[in-house]
Amino acid sequence: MKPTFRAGNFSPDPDRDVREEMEAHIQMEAEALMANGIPEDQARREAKRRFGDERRYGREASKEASARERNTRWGDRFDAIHRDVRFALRKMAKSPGFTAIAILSLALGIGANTAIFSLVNTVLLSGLPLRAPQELVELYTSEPSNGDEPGYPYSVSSYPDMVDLRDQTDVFSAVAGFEAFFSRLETETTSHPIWGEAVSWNMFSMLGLEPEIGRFFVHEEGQTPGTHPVAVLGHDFWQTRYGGDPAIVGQSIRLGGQQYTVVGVAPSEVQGFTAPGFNMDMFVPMMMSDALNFEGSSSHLEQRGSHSTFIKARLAPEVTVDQARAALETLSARQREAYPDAFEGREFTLLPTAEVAIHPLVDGPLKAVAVLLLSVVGLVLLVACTNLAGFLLARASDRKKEIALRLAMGATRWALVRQLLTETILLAIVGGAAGLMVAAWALKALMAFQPPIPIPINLDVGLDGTVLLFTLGVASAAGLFFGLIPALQSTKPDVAPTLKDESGGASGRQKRFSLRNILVVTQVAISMVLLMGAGLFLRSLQSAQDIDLGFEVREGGTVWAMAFGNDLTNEEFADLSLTLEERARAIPGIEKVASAEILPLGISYQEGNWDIPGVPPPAGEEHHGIAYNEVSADYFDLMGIPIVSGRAFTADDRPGGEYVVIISETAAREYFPGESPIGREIVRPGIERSYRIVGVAKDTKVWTLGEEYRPYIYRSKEQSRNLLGTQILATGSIPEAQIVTELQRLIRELDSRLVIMESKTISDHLSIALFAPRMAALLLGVFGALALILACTGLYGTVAFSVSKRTREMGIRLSLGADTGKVVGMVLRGAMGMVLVGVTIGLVLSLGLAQGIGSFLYGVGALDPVAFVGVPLLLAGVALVAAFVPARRASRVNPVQALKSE
Amino acid sequence: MAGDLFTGTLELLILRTLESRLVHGYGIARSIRDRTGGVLDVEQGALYPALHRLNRKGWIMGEWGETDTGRRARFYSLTEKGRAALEREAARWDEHAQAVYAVLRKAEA
Repeated sequence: MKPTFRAGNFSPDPDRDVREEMEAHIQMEAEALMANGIPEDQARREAKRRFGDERRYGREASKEASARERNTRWGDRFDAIHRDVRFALRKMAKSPGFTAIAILSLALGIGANTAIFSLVNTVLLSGLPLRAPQELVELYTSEPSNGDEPGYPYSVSSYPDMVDLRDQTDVFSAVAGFEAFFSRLETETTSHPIWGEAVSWNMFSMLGLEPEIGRFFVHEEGQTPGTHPVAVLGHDFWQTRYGGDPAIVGQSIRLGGQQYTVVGVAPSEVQGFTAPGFNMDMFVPMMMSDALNFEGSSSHLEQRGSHSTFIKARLAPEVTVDQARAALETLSARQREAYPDAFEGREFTLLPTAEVAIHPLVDGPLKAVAVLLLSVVGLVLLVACTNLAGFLLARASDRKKEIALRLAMGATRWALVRQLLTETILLAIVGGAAGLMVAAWALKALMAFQPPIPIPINLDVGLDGTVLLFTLGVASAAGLFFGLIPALQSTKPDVAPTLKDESGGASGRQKRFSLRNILVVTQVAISMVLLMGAGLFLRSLQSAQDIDLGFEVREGGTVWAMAFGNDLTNEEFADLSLTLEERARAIPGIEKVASAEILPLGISYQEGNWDIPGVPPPAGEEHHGIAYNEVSADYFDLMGIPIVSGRAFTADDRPGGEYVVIISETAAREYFPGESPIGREIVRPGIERSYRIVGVAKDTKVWTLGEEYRPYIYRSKEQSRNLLGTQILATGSIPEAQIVTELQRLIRELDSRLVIMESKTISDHLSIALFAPRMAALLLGVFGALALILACTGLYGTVAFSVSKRTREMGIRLSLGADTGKVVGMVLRGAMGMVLVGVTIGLVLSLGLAQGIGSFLYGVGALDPVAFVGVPLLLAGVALVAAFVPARRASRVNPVQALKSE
Repeated sequence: MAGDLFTGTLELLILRTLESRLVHGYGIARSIRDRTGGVLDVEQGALYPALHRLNRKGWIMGEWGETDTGRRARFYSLTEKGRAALEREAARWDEHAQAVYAVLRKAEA
């Protein structure tokens, strides 16, 4: 008896086996006894007795047998997987080019998506580890509508309103608030700017947060203004400034001129409550916010008109959002009656915390940007998937013969499909690992970007595992889908024709609209759309640089210096500012020095109320709202803003003298049409001071590059002397970075009570205005190029594949006398036909895209001819190269060998 | 302990029986009974849990076949693993038995 392969140890029903063999045993024993002359029934009884407890032994044996059975099955499965994996690896190694393209596509698609999803997730989706977050709500005070301006429902509240919300409603179990503050940390020698939040004592406990070390605030620290100078440090600040020393708790630090005791450190995930990325240096009780207020004004905790408090609350048990809203309505009506001045036209509003990412005001635009980014990387993933699909498609049709053979040999379809699955999963694993590296690198590059605002942004973005798995899943599913269709097609029972091999012959011409061709067309179309977006933003960037800013200066240094109201008076600050400018002028290499309250084209501008005798304000308004600035006498000269009539400010414009202003050309045209404004008066209501117009300056852009010139008013800084902050500007022959350093040094040496808020070169400052188009052009350019690379690899693969499939046809043509140029041309025509279809579809889609982003573009029509001609040409050119390389191979076909190859 | 010793002994006897032949369960039982002179004639059914345990360990292998008289039976044979185990276990049993024997002799003296 020879054991056959696997037969002995493989049994579908181990229980029956055991039963049968035991029965056979008893039968044989009985037969042996009968052979000795014992009657049958007696022999059988004796045999059973000798055997013993049949059931017990049967049970025990069965248990062992089925245990073995399970092991065997898993072992066999493992063996099969092992075989499949080895086979797949061998196949992949055989065509390294295709494999590399597939893995590269996956890595780029998965990497880009994981990076962007992780970023969006951190900014918009993930939050603090809050206790029972479904009970938390955000409370706002609405902004009343103002003339034409509609009101805004989700504005900031005053502290007294927060107290009323806490004490005069019973729908909340807790109400807590916070406001941002800016101060400075002083040591014996230096002062360091500090961003922090003043929070009500119960903020942390209401949210269910725990300190890293020490404690958060307690009840008595939230009762009386100014009595409890205590602070909780932010985690990062604690790490960088104090090296993470736990002994800091209990120590004293000097903050804004007052000693504070450090009572605790926040955990790293609690960076603050303002917005993700705004990493607070420290937290103090709300009761200390007056002391820290850098305007130096007191008791804003009592002013109902001072709206600076953000409020969060926890709903009382069993209270619904609707019930809470009803309670807010009642309280709002009461407030309007009790405080007609401060609360007129206002009401309390509420949003569940779960529905607010950062703040309703920024959630909208942020989500729009997020959707745009996600769509872009989604398209990249689509291109990656089509590449992978193309790869497996080529593989599957390449393998038609092998599959038919294996089917004919009796392999099951499942075994063939399993083989394909294995290959896809292997690719997914390798591609996913590479994608992880791409994502980590991309995130690092993204995080290195610092938006041009004076507050340090420090987003802690971790790679998101869910996203990685999701993209991996999508890519694998796409691969499987496209891999399985041809596999299932080729595993149809009808195997004879395939075996005869028609695929390489002249009759096996590719169908015009094969799945593979459709994939290439899709890829070309998608890259076309992305590149068109990049092209439009680049064009916009280009024309933005040509926009006339209205001033000449392009290089230099600027430093924003500021003082705290409890340190310096406005007069003292004005004197320091003048001294500073004088000393700066004395530095060798610095030629011009000036100063202004704010710089044009920054992140903000200011507007104020003005009255113009004889010129009525717009309908429904009491005053003219006009943008203004306060500038030093040298400002116009340094900036290169020509005075078109009248005069610039002079040293004679002093306090006590006649107050003077200079207005912009647009202001002159709008308010004094057809006459000279020089000598006319305008009045600042509130302080009731009138100013004589002494000059008209050329228009400049004030806030954005795209804006129309607007009316603008310059006041004399030396005359007003009412500031606590100034932008010092300097230009000269030394490099601009050096000018910045010199200014910083001067300020530090002059007075330690001056805080440097921001230092930058003028060229960096001017780039703020171009930040958005530059970022957009960069991102779309990178992703567009990525898509183009992927599409070209796909095209290359397709052409190479069709050339290899048509070797025989080429051979016949060449041997019949066709010249090589014609053969290459034929292959190229096929490839470029697909590119043309893709470009056409891409152009149509781009028209839609251009309409969508039109409002973001400066000085570029949505149908910009340069972009709409240049981008398709570029794309077609790159595609031509990608197709030409493999097509040339067709011309090198040796006719004899090609004909013999089958 | 006694159970372990017995189980081990039974397994060892099975392995020894299969050392040179393919045998079905009944044949193994007969062989053990004959060779031990009936001393170890335990209930024959106890053989089957032991057989399947050895099969699970991969020491023996069972497959269906026909006896000389045309009866269907499951034949067992020793695997390579089983052959190695037989030598190892036999040596161990021998050591064990000698130790027990030595103790018993002392007690008698």
